[in-house]
Amino acid sequence: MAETWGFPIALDLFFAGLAAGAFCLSVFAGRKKGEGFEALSRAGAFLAPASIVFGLAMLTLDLMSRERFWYTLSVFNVTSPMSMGAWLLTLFALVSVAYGLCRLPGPVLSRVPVAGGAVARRRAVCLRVLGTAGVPLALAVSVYTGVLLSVSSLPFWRNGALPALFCSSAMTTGFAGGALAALRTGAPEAMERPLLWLRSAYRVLLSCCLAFALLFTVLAFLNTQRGDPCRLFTGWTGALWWAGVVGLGILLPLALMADGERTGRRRLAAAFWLVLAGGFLLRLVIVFAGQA
Amino acid sequence: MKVGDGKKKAGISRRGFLKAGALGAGAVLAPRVARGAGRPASGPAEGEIDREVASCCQFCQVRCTTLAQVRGDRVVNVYGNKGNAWTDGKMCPKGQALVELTYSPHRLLYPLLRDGSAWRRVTYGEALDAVAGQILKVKAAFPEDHAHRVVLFAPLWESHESEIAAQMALYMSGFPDICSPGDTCIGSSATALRICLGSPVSTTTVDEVLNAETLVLWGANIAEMYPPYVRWIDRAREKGVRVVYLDPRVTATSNNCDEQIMGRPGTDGALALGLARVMIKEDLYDRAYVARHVDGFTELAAAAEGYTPEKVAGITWIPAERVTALARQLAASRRTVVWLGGSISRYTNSLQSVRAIVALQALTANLSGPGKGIMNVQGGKPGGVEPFEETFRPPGLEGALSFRKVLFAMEQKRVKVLLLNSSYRRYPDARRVRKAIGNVDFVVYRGFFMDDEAALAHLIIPGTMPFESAGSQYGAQRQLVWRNQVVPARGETVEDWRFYSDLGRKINGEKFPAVKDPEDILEMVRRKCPTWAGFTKERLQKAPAGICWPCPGEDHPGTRGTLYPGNRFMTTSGKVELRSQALGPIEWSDPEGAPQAEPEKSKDFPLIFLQGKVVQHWQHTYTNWSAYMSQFSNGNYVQVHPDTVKGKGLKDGDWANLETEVGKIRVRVVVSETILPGLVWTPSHPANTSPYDGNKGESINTIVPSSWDKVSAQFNGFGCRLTKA
Amino acid sequence: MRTMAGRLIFFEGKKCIRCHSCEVGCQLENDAPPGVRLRWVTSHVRGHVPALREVSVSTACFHCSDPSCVAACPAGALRRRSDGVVEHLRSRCIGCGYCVQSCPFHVPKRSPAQHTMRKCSFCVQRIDRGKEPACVAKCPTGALSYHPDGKTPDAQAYGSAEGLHMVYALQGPPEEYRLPVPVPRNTVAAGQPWKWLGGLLPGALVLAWLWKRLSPTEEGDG
Repeated sequence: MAETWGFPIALDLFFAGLAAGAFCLSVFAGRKKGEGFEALSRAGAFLAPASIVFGLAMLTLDLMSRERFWYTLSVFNVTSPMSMGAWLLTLFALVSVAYGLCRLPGPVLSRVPVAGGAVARRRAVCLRVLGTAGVPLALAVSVYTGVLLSVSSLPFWRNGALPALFCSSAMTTGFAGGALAALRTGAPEAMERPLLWLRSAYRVLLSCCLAFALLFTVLAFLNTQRGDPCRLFTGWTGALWWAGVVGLGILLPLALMADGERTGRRRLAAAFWLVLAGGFLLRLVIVFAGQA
Repeated sequence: MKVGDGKKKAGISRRGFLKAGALGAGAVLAPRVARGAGRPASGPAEGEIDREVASCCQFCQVRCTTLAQVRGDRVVNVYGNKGNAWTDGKMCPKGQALVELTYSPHRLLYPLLRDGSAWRRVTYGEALDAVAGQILKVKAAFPEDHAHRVVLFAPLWESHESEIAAQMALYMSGFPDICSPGDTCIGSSATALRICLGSPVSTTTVDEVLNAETLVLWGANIAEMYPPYVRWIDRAREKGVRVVYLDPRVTATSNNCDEQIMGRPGTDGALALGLARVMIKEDLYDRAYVARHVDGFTELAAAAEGYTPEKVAGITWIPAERVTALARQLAASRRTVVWLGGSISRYTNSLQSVRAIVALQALTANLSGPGKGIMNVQGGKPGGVEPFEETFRPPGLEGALSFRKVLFAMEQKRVKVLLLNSSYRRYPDARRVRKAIGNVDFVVYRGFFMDDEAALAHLIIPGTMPFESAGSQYGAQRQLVWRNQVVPARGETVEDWRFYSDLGRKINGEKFPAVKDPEDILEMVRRKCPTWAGFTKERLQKAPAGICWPCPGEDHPGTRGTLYPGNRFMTTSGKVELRSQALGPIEWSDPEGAPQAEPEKSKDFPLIFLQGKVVQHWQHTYTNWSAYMSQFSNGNYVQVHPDTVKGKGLKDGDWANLETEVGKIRVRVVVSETILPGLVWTPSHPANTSPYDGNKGESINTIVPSSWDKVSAQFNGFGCRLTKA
Repeated sequence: MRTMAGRLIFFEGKKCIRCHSCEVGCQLENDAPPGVRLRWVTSHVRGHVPALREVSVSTACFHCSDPSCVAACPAGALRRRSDGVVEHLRSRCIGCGYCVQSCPFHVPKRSPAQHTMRKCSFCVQRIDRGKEPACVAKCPTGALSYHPDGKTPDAQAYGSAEGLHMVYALQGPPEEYRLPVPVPRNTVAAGQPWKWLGGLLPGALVLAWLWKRLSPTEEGDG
């Protein structure tokens, strides 16, 4: 059976989650003073809209009738996670683009047509409002992808741990993306304290990921139909799950971040890349394994 | 807080990224927006069907009458005609495929003349002149020795009028060599019926099964062959008729029977003689009837003498007690209809086997009257056209030609012009036939697609498909139905009746009657043939179920039910003739090449070969060009019992070689308990010129050895083997 | 005779001869290209000689009373009529494939050449004009029959009790025919709020913790 959803959907799930996480990172990091936190916040602010737009493009590309994508905004089907997701994505995209624009330097922002000037004068307020509105939206976006799959009829996807798993992965990948961008732009000394903060945050985030990944595995195993293999233990999906998603994407980063006071930037950067790769493999394996 | 530099270092600027994204999205969506305008609403009938035109299907002799749905000048769908009591307005998938086939992108629409290895398009006029020219050339070159110089391969499918037009054209031209389609169809059973009873057609109509006590489906896989007729069997069972099904395979028809007897293929004659013997020995037969209406009882008894239940069991694989029980059951049945399957005619012993079955029905007085008789498949062609044929057939010219004579003639390079109206792959040892056709100077093909036959042609004059022509056609109930033209003929395709009339006119001038439409031909027949007097076009158009032959008057309703009321058979004696000068005594022998008959050869080819029809294909012909039919087709495969492949290293899904003494093809193995051990069954339909997987495969008759009885070819029952590919 | 509101198609297995006429008839009537099978026939062999039989089932949309696909569609392309027909509106379908993933019977089919999903819509264009659906019209044996009054001839038929509008009288247990047992209900609606909660709750907790960790009262740059 050729799968209905493939690569484009896996990419969409990944980039939507990443956008949600990057947005949250931006809002949270913006609470702290300091150049490093400022760099983190800015990185997240620009990464989120770019990522969500790319994710939406992937989603639209996957439609058999691409030019009809806007039909989803003429309907509000409360029972459909796909419908709610379309609205959430759209609203979140709008908020994150606006938030990103607000992060532009003053002179640049003033030149944005329509409200640019007015917003430039009240930047802080706008950022606060958009941030407050955006975080719940981001949370909902990160969860909806999991709900979408888990209320379908495919037994592998109907897994209660999926929404939480996707949510935690969204946060880890979003934070990782923002951190990597900030490491490029921020001065090394300024990044010390943010990196420390990120490390301790990641211990919690990755532990959550691990917990939900294991819970997902157990439930998937219990859920398998008679005679069918559990795809987390066989084939390329099984290999990628343990080696890629759990091993490289969660355990190795945890190990890399386990050191004492000072952790090399290179090690942290490597850990962030691994988290990104693992996050993408997570979506890939789950999308394909469910339809096998 | 540093500003400015950070942006550049990040590589692509944020704005640039968003811009690129927007452009990309636009590029992706723009063409779709433009196309979106043409998106269909929902379903074709949403819009409207402009009109429905009564037509009929060109394939099998259920001859479903249909209503073609037209929008504009295009047929969009076809449904069965509910006014047809034979079919209750139903259809099978083949007739539906005609909608797709009519508009197939692969369809040939213009005459093509071979130009080296390429094709050059010519007009119909040029094509007609070419054919007429060739035939006239032959006439001039061979004023005396013209036998087998110009040959036509039947059948012509298009209409009964086409068959008449072709006959007229060829006979008048002095070349009566038309190969009967019966020699690869039911010629054997039809001939046996004719010899015994006087007419080659079924002795009764299918509605009579409702009046029977017992219905014997003798190799008749009705569900696969004639799906709309399954309802007759169902209705009969509801009325309490007991249905006995003889077939070595469990098929869809098995669900509609009360008991199934699975015997060795090709042993039907032995079974019939064995059953007759039981009836004679136990004095269960109708003495009075036999005395009054049957000639040749003594010879029959003598022939049946050796067929004890034990001997029959050994031959047929049916347990002796079953044979005896069946005989008693049939003898006790007061009204029995025997329905012969097509496969009955496919063995070299078919003539004799059907004689034996006729004898069986004669013994139990089951040949005449309600609820009694023998039905055939594809055997409904009305007779009684001789008075008309005599008007155009020059005296002294022979009748229908046996294919074997033609094959030899082709191999000896006698045949100069071949009118290939049908497929050559219907004949056994098809590669040999193909090679022989290669010797013919001028081959004219009247098909629809670039298939194997087109590859052999010098000139292709593509034919019309059913929706594009009008005419009458006959069905298994001896009924004649009328088909109206639904849409204009596409391109320069031309009906058979028109082509052969034009040809006849070109060659014979004014001698050939002027024909402007098929009704002209129908009227010619009707006026000359008393039993056709009631077949006017108007009456036929008003009869969705058709009118059954004989119909001797314009207010005659047609003749349903028994063909021989009051036991007045159409033989010279008026009785059932079990004696025959030509065929000798009724007897049974193994099909030629059967493993059981030739122990030496059977070591190499120990399995019994069977080929058969599948519901979605019309033999191996143009349904192979339907993508819809390919959805359910599986190319060359063989169905075998698990025991048959045990120890051969073959399992379900493997590729194997199916080999006979003539050749081999690659097949996929399907293991199933639905077939007896020792048998191999494969579908007959694949063609390797089909553009669609599923339909694609080697033509089966390329590996079928050429064996014949006096009338028709053998397609089943000989030896073969399966080896790992 | 169980009565329920709305149209019904009844499939009687013992009459099916696996001729595929219903499949082709449906495709022609509903503009479905070869390969896109809105209705499909599957067969298998059951029993042993002498009671060995080939049995078949002709399946299309089950027209559930509580359809998962309608619950799933984000574009308003699926709706359930009051007569029980679950209609697919091709003019609104965006081809997202979510109904394909949601239907517990795996009914909807992608039709890439037509840029939408395809699904049996009970031949609304025929039944609204008083005719029977194409599959019923084409079935030569009457295995498929149409009951506009909703009266099922067999209360034991698969789907009868669960309010499906396409019900099956089979010659063996439904599992043998790869029909899901028990008859599935709305998969999309079932437990959906819990699934949301299962993601939002842990997510909110973690984010709240992160928020606290980053509050300006924590040690940071001045």
